[in-house]
Amino acid sequence: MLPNEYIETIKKDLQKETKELHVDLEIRRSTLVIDPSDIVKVGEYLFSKLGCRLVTATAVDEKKNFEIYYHFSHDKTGMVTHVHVFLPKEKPEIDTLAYVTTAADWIEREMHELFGINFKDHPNMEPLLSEGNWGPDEFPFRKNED
Amino acid sequence: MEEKIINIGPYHPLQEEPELFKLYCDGEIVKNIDWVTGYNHRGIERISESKTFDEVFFLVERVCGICSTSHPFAFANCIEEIGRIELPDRAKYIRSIIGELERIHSHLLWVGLAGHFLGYNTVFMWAWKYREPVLDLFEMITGNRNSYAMFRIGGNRRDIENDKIPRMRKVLDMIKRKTDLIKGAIMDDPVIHARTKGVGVIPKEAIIDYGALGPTARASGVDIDVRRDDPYAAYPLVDWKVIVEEEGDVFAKAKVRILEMYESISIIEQCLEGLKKEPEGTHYVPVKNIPAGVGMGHAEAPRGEVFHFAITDGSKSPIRHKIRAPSYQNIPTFKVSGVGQTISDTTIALAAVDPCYCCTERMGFAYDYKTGRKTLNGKDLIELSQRKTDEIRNKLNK
Repeated sequence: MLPNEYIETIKKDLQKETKELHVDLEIRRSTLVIDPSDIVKVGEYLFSKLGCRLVTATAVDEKKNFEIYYHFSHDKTGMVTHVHVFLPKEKPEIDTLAYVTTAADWIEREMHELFGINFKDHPNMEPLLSEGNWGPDEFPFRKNED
Repeated sequence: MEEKIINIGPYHPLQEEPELFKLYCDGEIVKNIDWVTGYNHRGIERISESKTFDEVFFLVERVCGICSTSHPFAFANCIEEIGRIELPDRAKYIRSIIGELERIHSHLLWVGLAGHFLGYNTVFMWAWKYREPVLDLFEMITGNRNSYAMFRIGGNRRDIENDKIPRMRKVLDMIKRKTDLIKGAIMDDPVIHARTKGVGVIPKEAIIDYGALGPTARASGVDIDVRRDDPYAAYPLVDWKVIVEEEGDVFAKAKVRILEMYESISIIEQCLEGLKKEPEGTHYVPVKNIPAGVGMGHAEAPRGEVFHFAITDGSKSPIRHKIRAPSYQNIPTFKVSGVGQTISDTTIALAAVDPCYCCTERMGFAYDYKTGRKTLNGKDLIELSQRKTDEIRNKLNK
């Protein structure tokens, strides 16, 4: 598979879920903006169908929303797709990807602990890092607490 | 039979880093493994947001003490992707030389430790002895045995002058001969075979599911290597191959690492030839501003892919900087490699992924929820430890 074929496949198969798709074939990167409710479907498609690897995920605290970038790497072509979702400030919640790939387990626990984002039905939402050093309702990477 | 818990940690007796493995054992057989972390928080992602791009290099270099160039490597790739900065060939060669020298000394360190774990101390002494000349090379070309501070945006902070090439070649020839020696001592030794073959097997499906990386993945037949898949620095300019083994056991992981050392030596030799063709002094391009944008960079560290993701707003600092070290993906595979083994085999199975705890735990933040302050002074730390002791006492008295 070539990088452009990879993008064409995504365009065709994820037509309904895609809100925006930005592609830069020269540096082999693409960003796919989707609705948070589609994350399991899109994650499962990229992981199981296309054979992508979940590299990690980055949570960002922006003024209006929480955002998560899920980084999927398609190692056969070197393409990396950032799956970008926006979550409301009042209730940051999204379905877990831990049942799609175990790679999501730890990073979702970390995002929950540092940003207070809730991952629905996660198998083990125990704190990964804090070891009791900060309270259960304190989220040190949130910016509005500064 | 009653299940017993055996603790390895909270300070590992051999790897000398803080972590706690709980082995749930039925007799000699390990039935389940739990991992407790959080002893080593430094809050590097957050600190990075308060540093300028040039300062971040010194910060991320301290994420890991062993592979101290892999994080600056990935961060440089990341920022250069945002700024669309193309490096001169000399800069690319120097970066690959530093990266591969680091792979050699890191793999030698692992081979030595693995020998030590198995009680085969000859390998330990040899590997660490021959790692020293590699560190001396680093001192010669960068001024430091570790934490080399070589990279900057747009290239390198220092050149490798051509008159240093003969000395480097001499050391590389010696390392190649000594690698032959270590290879013979490990790959042909019946005791090592008995202790490592069929031990700590991670099947290919588990590697894919856990997103495991580097030699851990390549020893299980998963053919991934960022240097080839998404090429950067001088890797597309030289000839080399990715080492892949199918068995997935501890022996296969050792084999992958040892054979990778030969590839690294070959890459460095070709890069040194490349250096001769490029004029001295062209080891960087000046960069003034980094535009607003989103970018990522990855680099193949000795333990697997290091991943950096940054968001910039046109200022001098990243507004969000995410770091993911390879051990973060590799350590959870202990549930696969360690369970079902005997206790003595589990220790080497756990060591086989070459776990690096200081990398894995880089993202926490010292935070006192009582006072709301984000740093702890000495008094706070004493209070915290007293509070924890009380909690433990209460738990035990229940």
